[in-house]
Amino acid sequence: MSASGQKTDLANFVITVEDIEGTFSPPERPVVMEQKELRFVPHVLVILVGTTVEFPNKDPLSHNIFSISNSKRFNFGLYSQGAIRRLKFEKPGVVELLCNVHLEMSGFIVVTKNPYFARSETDGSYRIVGVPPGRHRLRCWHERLAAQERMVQVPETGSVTVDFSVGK
Amino acid sequence: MKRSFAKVVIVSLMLLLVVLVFSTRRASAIPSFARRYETACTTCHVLPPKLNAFGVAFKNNGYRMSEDDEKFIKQPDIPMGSPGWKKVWPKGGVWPGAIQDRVPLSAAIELVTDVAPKEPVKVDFAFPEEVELLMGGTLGSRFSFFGDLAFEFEGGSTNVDLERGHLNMRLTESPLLNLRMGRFETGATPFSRFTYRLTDKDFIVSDFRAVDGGFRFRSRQQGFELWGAKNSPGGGGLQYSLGLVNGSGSSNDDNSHKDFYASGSYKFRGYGVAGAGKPLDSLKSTENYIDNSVEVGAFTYIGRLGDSPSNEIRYNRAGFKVNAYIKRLNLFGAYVHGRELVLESGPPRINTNAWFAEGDVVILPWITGIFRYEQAIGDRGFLQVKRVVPGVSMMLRANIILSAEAPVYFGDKNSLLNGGTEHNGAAFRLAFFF
Repeated sequence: MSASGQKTDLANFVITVEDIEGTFSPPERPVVMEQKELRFVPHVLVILVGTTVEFPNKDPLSHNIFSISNSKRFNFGLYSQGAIRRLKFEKPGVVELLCNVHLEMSGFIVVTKNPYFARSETDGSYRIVGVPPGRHRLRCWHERLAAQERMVQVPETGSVTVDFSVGK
Repeated sequence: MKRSFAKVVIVSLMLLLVVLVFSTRRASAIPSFARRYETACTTCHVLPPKLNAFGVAFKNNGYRMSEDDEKFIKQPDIPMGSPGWKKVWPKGGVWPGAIQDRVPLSAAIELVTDVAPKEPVKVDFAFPEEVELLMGGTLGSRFSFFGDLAFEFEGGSTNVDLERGHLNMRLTESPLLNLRMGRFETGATPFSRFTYRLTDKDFIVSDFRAVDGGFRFRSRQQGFELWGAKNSPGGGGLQYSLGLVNGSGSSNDDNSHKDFYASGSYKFRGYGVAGAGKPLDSLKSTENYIDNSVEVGAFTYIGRLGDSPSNEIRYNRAGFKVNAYIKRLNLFGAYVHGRELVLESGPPRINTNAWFAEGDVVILPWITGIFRYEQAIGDRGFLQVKRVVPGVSMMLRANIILSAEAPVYFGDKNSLLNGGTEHNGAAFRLAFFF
């Protein structure tokens, strides 16, 4: 599936296929979310449940990353440049990250139940490969906008395009 | 003959051009909003400063678009804390806020030519008559502010007046309940001189004083106001205000009593008073003056001036208003009954009845014709004002307004309206905003 973006600043929408159940193996190697130039990089990270995320501090100062989201509450405490913290995310949901030192920092980790997900590019396009054929429910999440859902019929072969409208 | 006629025509046209060049209006349109949303003034104004229905909803939402405000803002705010801190508060952190990227400052300059054929000074140029600094905007999603600092140039001196300066806090998710504090025009004022008036002459219902130095609606007050707006399913909706203010105008209070007022209105049909009620695809800048609807309202104001029996004036006002839009025509008016109790001397009670009716018609999208009849009659005999105010207002550009009016008095020209004498004549004005 893919979608065409119509506007700029359309990155960081997370599109997931909601109704595919099963047991899926998370990646063996951790996924990285850096603290760099007082930002989380990437701003939105999408992972399969069970994935471990590394949080290296790449800034010449200390950060204190924490979250009070229901699906994962944690507080790393203060750690300085070069230090790395690791955490395994074992429940699906959206985890909002904050820094107790730098109020403007925010990031999101979207933990999904299955590996059929994508994060949109800056032009709004996204691509999810390997989706089993059949009728599925797509969900589009964004940190500030209301989530949208669409039903899609995935063919045996080829691709299907699903667009989400996000206004002006 | 032909040459003489041509000369007369050319001279007349030149005089008309000269006269029309000097024309102004009391400024209250605010270009910083136009900059913030990169949209024309006509998005919110029939003709600045008169708000259209969309502009009323914008104001009622605390100077924000009613729906999807973020997607229309072209100058994003600078966040002061990530939104995630809302979930952490109050145990930790400060509730996140925002500040506008650019200082929301605008200016308005008014040039006036007064023509008074029967006065000693028959033509008077006031260039400028007034320069205003206007500021307004939001501080995050719940707070907004508005300020209006006027520099008036008269008789060689410059008067500086903070006409308005207030902070507004929205207490509910919708604009149903807000708290305004500061210096402002009260919600009991029948029709705002800042956001509704197209003429230099204020609405008489706002302008009259029953006694010298007494109360009038046009005086800005200092205090608090609870106010709100709510859409109704069929369009329009409810607006209300409740206020507690000093009552002594823009001065500090002169007694321990606070003035109280209440107002309410209901609009049938038309654009929602709190917004469209649905997502906006885009901002519309044309034909926003059409809003077929009728609004009816009532208001009351009770107050006291002075701090001893020798100078105390107790007063109250009560009245109603009607505001109807029929295609390009806006018919509106108000009636106010005033009662003053002057303890100092003479018959203690003074009753005043004032009313006006006005029709504004959008002749062309950039020209509005104005005709108003109004009167204020006091039962003591020294307030007997009857006048018509015909006028025309033109947008040379969305932010350059040319207007002319020629009030004609039928009653006594000696009035207490502004502590002076009114006269037949004309006022020509040019106002520009940036």
